[in-house]
Amino acid sequence: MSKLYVFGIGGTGARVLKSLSFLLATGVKCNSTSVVPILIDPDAANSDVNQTVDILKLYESIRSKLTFNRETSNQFFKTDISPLNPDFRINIQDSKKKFKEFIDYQSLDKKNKSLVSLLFSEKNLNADLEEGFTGNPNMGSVVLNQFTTSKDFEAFASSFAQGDRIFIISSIFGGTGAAGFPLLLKNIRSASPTLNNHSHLQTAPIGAVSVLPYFGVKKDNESNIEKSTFISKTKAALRYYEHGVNGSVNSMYYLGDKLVKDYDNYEGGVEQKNDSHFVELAAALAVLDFANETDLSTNKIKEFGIKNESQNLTFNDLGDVTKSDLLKPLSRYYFFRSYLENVLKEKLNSDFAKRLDIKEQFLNEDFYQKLKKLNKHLWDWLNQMSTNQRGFAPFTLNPENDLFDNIKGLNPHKSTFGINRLKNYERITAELNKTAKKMNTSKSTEDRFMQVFFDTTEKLMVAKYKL
Amino acid sequence: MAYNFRFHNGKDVEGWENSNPLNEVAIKAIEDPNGAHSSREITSIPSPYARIDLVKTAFKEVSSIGPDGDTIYHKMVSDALDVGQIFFEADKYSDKIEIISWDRKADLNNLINSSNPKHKMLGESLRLYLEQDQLTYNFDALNKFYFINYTEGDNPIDIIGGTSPSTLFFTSANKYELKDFQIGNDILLDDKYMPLYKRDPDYVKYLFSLRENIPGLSSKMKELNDYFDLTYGYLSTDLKSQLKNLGDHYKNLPVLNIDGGGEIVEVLGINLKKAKGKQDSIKDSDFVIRPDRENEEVYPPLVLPNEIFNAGLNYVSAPWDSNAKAPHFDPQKLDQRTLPLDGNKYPYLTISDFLEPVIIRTEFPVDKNYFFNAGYESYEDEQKGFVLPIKPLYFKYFSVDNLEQTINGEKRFELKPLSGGYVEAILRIPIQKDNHITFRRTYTNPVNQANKPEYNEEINKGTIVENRINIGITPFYKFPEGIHQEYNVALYEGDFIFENNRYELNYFDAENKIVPIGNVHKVQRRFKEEETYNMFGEIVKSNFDYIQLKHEFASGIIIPKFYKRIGGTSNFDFSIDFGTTNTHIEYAIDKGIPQPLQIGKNEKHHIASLIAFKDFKESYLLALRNDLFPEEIHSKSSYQFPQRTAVNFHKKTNFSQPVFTLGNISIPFKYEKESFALYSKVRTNLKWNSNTDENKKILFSFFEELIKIIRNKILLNGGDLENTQITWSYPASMLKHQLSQMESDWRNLIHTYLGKNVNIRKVCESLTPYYYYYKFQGIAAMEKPLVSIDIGGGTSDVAVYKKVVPILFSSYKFAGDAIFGDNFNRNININGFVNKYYSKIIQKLRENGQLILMEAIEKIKDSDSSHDVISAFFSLNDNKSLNDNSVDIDFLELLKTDEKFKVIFLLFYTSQMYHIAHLLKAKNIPIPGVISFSGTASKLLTIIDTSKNHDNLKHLTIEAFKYVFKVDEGIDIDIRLPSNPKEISSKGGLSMAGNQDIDLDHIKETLISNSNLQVGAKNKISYKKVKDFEDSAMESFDDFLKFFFGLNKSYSYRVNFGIEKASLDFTEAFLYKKKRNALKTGIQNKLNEISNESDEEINETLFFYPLVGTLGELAYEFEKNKVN
Repeated sequence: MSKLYVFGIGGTGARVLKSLSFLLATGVKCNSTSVVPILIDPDAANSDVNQTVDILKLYESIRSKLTFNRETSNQFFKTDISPLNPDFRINIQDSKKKFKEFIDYQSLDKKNKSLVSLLFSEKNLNADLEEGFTGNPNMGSVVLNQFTTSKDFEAFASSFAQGDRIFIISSIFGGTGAAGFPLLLKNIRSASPTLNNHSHLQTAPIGAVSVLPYFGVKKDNESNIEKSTFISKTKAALRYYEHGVNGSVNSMYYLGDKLVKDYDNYEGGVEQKNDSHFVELAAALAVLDFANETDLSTNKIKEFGIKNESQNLTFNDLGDVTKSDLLKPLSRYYFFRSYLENVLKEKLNSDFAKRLDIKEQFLNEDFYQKLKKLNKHLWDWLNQMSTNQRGFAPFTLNPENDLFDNIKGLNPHKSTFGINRLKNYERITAELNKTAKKMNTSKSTEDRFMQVFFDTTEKLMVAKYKL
Repeated sequence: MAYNFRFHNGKDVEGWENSNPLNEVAIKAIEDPNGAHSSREITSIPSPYARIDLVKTAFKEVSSIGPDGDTIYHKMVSDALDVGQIFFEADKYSDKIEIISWDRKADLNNLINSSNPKHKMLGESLRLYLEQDQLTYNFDALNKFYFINYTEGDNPIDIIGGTSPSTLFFTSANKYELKDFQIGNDILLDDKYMPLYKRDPDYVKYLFSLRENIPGLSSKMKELNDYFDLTYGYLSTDLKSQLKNLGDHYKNLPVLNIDGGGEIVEVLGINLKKAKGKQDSIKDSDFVIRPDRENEEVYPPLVLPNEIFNAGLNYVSAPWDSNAKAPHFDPQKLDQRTLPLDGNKYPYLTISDFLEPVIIRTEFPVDKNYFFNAGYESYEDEQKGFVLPIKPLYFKYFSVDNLEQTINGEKRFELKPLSGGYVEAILRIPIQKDNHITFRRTYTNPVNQANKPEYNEEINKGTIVENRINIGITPFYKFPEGIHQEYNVALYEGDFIFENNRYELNYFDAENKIVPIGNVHKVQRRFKEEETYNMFGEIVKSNFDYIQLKHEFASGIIIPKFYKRIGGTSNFDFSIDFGTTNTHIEYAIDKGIPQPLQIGKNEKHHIASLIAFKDFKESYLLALRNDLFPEEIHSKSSYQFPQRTAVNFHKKTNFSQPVFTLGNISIPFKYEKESFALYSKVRTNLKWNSNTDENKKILFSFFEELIKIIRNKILLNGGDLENTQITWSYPASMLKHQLSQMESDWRNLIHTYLGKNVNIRKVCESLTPYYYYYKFQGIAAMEKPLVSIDIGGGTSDVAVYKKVVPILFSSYKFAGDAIFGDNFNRNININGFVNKYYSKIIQKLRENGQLILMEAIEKIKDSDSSHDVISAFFSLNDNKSLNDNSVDIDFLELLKTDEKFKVIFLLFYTSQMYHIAHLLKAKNIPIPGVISFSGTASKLLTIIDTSKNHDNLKHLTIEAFKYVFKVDEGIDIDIRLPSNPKEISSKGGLSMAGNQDIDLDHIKETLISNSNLQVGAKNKISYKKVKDFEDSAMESFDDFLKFFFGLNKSYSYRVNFGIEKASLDFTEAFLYKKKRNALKTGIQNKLNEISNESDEEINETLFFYPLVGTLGELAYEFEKNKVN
């Protein structure tokens, strides 16, 4: 039983956690039995963060209805996602103040005031923390430090056990993530003796992905965020990481992409909700890479590559391993979700539905509703990734097509005989009926439902694509 | 084609694969699409110590890009170097910065242990990164941070930078606009980035020496070290070689500490140092003043331009920015000043150090013949002048003479008229390399003369104040070595604008030192409330180069153009005839022909007046001639010698306090010519009135002024004081104690003013005329004796010569005053001559418009001295004003034609001849061949003899001798009576050879009465016994009357002199009636005169007393009764 604590810091952290959730939902391999996502962001209103929390809650809820044991072949939602607290996030207090109020600058003694005045600019001191650190992680390194004294951090320490791993997601060019990551790292590595398990923490396997710029923001002279500084900031931060970070992590994942797309320029808050991006998926893969890593002895630097450069990536463009990690789980889930979304309601009279006891009522129950919601998020995720720049569009998301033609780069096996003469959803229904016959009836409806769909889609992968 | 999700190049990866460490090489390879030109500070370092990291990165980047550039990295490097330079120059900025230290243990613990959770959290963060990042930033070796707090900022804490264990120095990300932080042309912490190699070589040397002294700097501060290496390549060969041989440079720099205390400033345990005083290098600035004078200042000040200056001269460490302007004014003391645009503490001079804010304008033009007027030529109708608006500091560096010179073809100083009566002063100050700084100040007219002058030195705005002033100075030359230095300066001010405005003169010597107060005596002679102007007389016992005129609203300087070619080799002889009425001085150069002492038009340097001696009517200008002396004294001017023996002073002069000749007492050359102010007093009759302290001082002053004039005469005419001879004469009848007092006065004065080598001769005034005749008139003392009679105002002296040697001498107070004076208790109201002629003369003056002169005579009459009035009458004949206007008032001529009074003059002459005949007879001296006359009153003899050969006088003389010697035939006596009898005495004094002051005691005889001869040397008869001689004196007088009235029978007085019988009869009766009483009064007066000196021998005949006591009354009777 090993846990993977995944700290998602700031907006990027949240988005990567979202991707991770979806990957785990589809059943991408994760050797950790449990993932503990912890979002850290003082920007309480950040939409990215809130959406991720929603998704994590949906995941957790769905997962809680499912049972996994040795006989369980279902990989959907296989990995447990368990919250440290119900919100999946560490609360940071007083984030509605100015920085100088936060540190109570005014009542500092002269010498400390002098030090602070030199280290922090006037602009820093007057910055409103409600909107994150707007690209000033030096402030973040102080403000975020409050979590070390929070109950949540204590709870984290208490729950940490030998063999558990820690992964930290952050972006290097923003505010919160850039600051939070080294801060968190240093706090763990120099965990206070007052914390439980502090020695385990100090030596814990830690992985981290640092997301380098992969999107731009539109030019806005009023904003503290300026795209043109992204690279220079990145380089400066990388230099800091070289000495101040890299040596403290077991595996350091670096990731970035050409700045192709300019997002709207928001300094945070509800407006900051960016389309999902392949890079986030790749970062999520880093989490899994670390989770699955067996050799943690050395300070590794890992980088991510693909086979072919394209502005619209498909599975075939990915590296072989990546492709194999993703192709089947995503494709299976793609069929799963598509079927649920487009067909299931009309097939409640079919054989498999009857066998599984899936009726109208099931569709209205919390489990299915939440699954549906999560799927919607996941579908949006796929959509956004496919239309983003650079795009990751492994599927044709056009419902008019034969579903089996929708995995780009794959040619489905077609036949005029037997079951394979059936097309599209008919083929799936047929397979579902077939699979349902073998289902263990002792399991719960939810388990059987998932199991049937997983097994079916798995078989289809073999049947149609020889995977 | 494979694609890697990263920014740098490297091996291809697929999926998540191990890669190379993202090290410096890789980071560097990341291509920044914007280069490093980001307009924003980089903020992405996730550490509270981000600034330290960023600056470190900046050094690294700049080391790779190159030292020059405008990237954000260049900015950070430049700023950090600025902070280092401020630390280095901490002394220079000591009034603008403070250094604050932060102790890693104590101050951090204050936070961590704070009860304030926010401070605690801050402290925890700071601690976390200090510990976790210690190797990266050398925090392991950090003891303290040191910050520079800009104390003139908006907030109490405005930290502009501090020390860094990574790069020595770092800055905050704030933008500061610092005032006066500039080194050379580099404004610190501005938007222009300055690489190290372009900075002050001293700073470069310091940093390189610091590098050598911080162990392991090359690895601990690799980025900085690389930058140093880079910088080195750009340095000059000279500096490179200096850096190669730094030696003990670091050791020799002063330690930088906090507030000069024990807390040093260090980085990684190594002391930072500070700049040695920059003064020594600033001394090499091209702007250092270039004085003419010897200047011993260790740090000679700079002179900085306050207007565009583009000569490209080197300022402190860079050329002067041609657009820069130094302030017009700096309130700091010179040694407390900091250089503008630079901030180094070093003295520099502004225009306001040299030029006054207020210029003093004089009502009339300054006399440029005597005073430097800076070339000012008013082009407006209203002619004005200016006192130079230069401050004395200028002359610390430059000589007064050079102010009139040019520099680079332009005047060193000039005053230029501007329209509207404004004036511009231009001062050019020499600086190094033959350059100069030009200072200009415009002085504007005051809005209202009555307001206090409004000026503003900070904006170079001057203003004008007009003062009604004049200054006179005598003498007008510099005293040579060894000569007593003494100037008389008269300051006149007639302002009515400002009440109680006090004027002051300060004298500056050749060393520009103020003449000490002990060498300047000040006295006020005239008072504004009495005469509408003040006059201050100042005696300055020191040479001086210029005068500072100062009052409460303005100051300015006056530069006299003193005559320089004074003295010479000529031998000057002076002879001073100090007379009762008039004083005369004759002089001869190199034993040449004697001539009266004159101050000619060409002798310009006896005296000078700031405002020219012109025909100004303003009383405050006119008084100078009275208070000092006139610019010209000669026979063709209004003033001349012989000069009336008189002094003039304020009525309230307190003689118990010091009085100063030409300060508050002087010879009134205008006496008998012009009137004197109401509060002024003229004192005459100095010669016989020296018995009180007051009179002694007055007499001394009179002599002193004469000696000063003589001194000037010698020095201004090529004379050699050492070979000067002064002959002064005295009356034989003067009492001994008076004489010795006078002798001491003369000696003291002559020794003081002319030196101790002057040959002083004392001669009896009775003896000198002979030598005149002897030398210039060809009269030798032949076989027959020669009698020389000197008839002055008070005494008549008789000397008898035989073969050039005086063999007999006698003196008596029977001279001019016996006729005109108010003898024996008479007064002016009963003076016959005054009564008869005063109103006539006044009327004539009035009719001829001679109102000034008229008033002068009237004032003299107010003195109630008949002597003075008569003297004034006589002076009219020589009065320039009358002569210029062809007004003829010749009192002597009037008397010649006035037959009524003639008997008086006849008695006067005949009695003298009678007495002299008896004197010679008593001494067994033969009848003389020649009788010569001299002295002022000798001219009275012409009243009874207008002929050229003096036949009448000759006849009367022969008759007297015949009567006394009782001979009938064979007598021929030649009479010599010159037209200028007063001058004879002085001329004769000059003619005496050697020191011929014969001891008159040996030959002095007093014929007390005809039968009683006071014999010299032995058995002296004192005044105790004088009354014993009354009777015989009466007998002698009776005998004279017998002779006189008897002579009429053989020599008709009516025929020869127009004297009517009635008049003669009246006279005879009158004399017989009054003679005894007059004799008694005469004796008593004499006794009174000698008062406590009754042991004094009888030195005067009693013979004339009856006449002295009667002639005045006789004249009055003639006038009153119209006896004819």
